[in-house]
Amino acid sequence: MNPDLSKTDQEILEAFGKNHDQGMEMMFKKYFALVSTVVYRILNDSEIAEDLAQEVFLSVWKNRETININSSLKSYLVRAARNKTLNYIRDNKVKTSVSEEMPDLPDFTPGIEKEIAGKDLRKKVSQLIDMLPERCRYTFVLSRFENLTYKEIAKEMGISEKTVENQISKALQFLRKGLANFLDDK
Amino acid sequence: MENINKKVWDLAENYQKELSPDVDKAWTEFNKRREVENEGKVVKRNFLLPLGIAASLMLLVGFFFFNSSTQNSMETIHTAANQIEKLGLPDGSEVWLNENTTVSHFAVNGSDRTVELQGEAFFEVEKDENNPFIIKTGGAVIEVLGTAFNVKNVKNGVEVEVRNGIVRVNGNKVKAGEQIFISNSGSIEKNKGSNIGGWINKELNFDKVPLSEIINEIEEIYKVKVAVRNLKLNDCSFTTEFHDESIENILEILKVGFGCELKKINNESFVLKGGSCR
Repeated sequence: MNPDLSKTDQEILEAFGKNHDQGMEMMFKKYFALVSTVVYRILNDSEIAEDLAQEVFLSVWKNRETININSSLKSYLVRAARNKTLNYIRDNKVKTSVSEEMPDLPDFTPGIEKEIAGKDLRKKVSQLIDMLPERCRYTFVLSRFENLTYKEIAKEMGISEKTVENQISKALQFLRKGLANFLDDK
Repeated sequence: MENINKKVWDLAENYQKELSPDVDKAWTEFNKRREVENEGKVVKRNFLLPLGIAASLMLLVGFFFFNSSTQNSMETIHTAANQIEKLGLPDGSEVWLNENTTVSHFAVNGSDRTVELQGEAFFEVEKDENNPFIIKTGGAVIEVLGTAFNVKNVKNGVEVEVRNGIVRVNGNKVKAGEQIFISNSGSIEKNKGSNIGGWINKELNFDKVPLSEIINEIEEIYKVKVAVRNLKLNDCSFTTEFHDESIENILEILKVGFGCELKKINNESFVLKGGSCR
């Protein structure tokens, strides 16, 4: 196992304080995957996710002399990743969106046994959310998983609150259709 | 919220998304970026820096003006943003001023051919072997007899690129096709020049030039930002010529050349996604 993965946040921060280079490497190796995942979850683009994750660590490096991480290192990096992603969305406002059309629902046969159904549900939900048109997906993910208010989303994406509301209801409608099997079970 | 929508909302909890990047590879990449970051202090040719930093470095900033010690009275010309101006000097030399540039020049043709510059300009100097043409700018004094070259104040120094002939910058000889960078602290760096004065009529030639450098030049000349999402493309070289093309056409050519997707965010920003070295 990579020795950097077993280091606690405390150890990493201490190392970073004493020797920037060494601490940076520990931090990077332990958290790069997590930070990229935070971005990836919102943007659904692995290339951009890795690129923005690089920038998150680069900011830490640039501010190495003055940086003051009081909270846990992990939550600091997660927050930084989220902010970086929101900035990205704001700077890359999709004004004339490529396609706002809802895609066709994929074929899907539900599993019979409970256990399989649970796994299928995860797969299904992930598949459906990732199929949403870009703008619709952003609004939904930011609202559902990043807990942003409609107002915050509207501001970040440069769209009206009404549009946010519409996009989210479109997303829910799409998921509702796609998850009909799971909803009928009840 | 409607009951059924609430259920859907709850089911969405099952959303799973994880990225397992190659961390060792990412670390290598990180070190590369970090190095470039550190080199911000020692500017390299064409400013091989991340986009944002490059953009701020490109700001044409002049530092200080020399006090004119000439008897020949001076006239001052200033260009506004987005304005390129051609200027004929009394000795027959010609100057193209890029935007936000100030040039003070001699009023009559005589033995004193001293010009003060703040910003960026391309000079075509009339030959007069007895009277050198002198440009004072930032921390540099440029002496020429007759030649064509570009002078630009950047954040941390002065950049001079020579198209024809020989120019002397703070005593250092710079020949045609060469570029010299004099930092504010006085350090000197010599490099190969490219597309010297290309901003005047947007004549750009690239001969096996890495994409990152092509993008830097285009961004500067067209005042746009182009994000290349696939970092692997930055080192891929490309050979092409652009003759006063629109930015859209240029990016279209790069798009096809590298097999990218091109996304126009607005008139000033574009994204090239995916693609590969061909």
